[in-house]
Amino acid sequence: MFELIHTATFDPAGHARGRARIASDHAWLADHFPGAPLLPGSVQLELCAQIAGPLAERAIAARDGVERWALLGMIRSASFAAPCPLPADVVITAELRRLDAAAATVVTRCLRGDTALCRAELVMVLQPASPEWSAAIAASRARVAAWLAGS
Amino acid sequence: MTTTFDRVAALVRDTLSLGDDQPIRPEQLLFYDLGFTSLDLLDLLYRIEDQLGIVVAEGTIYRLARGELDDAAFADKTVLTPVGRERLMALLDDTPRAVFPERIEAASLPRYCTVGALARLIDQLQAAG
Repeated sequence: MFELIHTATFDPAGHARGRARIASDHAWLADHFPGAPLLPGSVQLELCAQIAGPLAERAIAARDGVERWALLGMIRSASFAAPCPLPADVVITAELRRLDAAAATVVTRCLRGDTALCRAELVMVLQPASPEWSAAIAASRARVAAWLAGS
Repeated sequence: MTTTFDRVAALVRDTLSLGDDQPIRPEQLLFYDLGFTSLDLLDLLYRIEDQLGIVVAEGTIYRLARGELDDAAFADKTVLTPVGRERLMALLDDTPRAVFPERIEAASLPRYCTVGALARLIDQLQAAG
């Protein structure tokens, strides 16, 4: 799932942008839909969360000087404006709406070219980076570094 | 006439997906009586912002309880001082005193807030412009 995004940039002031390439032959698309693969809305939300998380982590680090680990805590709203036939290149944008010590709220969008696909308001819970999460956090950091290097 | 409490109560019902017939009373504590989580509180604050146009920023209860006191007199690092605890109890005077533990984490203040106190706080913020 994390391999779909290939480049991303993050501005700790509150903006981020990523690009994803989604092929039409993923196993999880077999039934969605046979002969006419469409990017599922749930995957669009996942892509949004993948960009919103590192943005939230950078924003809280810049504001409070603390290291946090962002996890999707709540989808406050989500709307889907247009279907997304596959394969597709998708742009994900994220804008910080509110930053608290324990949570960040991020307004995200997916676009295909000039076509808006979805808009979602996500709450990313900001957890202390506890030792049991160290492997996952290291993998996440490496992934984001690769996205940045690709930008 | 619809009061601020009526509007907040409606938003609490929306946040918890309760029916319109579910009574919400001013003395109910958000966390202890209504089962709020920290995410529910954040969701409610957004609903207040969207519906009432009032932004309740992080640390609002802390600032109102502290008043003109120095930070150090109100809280020792992350825990309220005895003076700070008294000031919090004075601000949230409809919360039973037994609910307040001896040691109150500064980040936990919304836990002691009733629906009525939240409505009063919104009135205060509205009056302050």
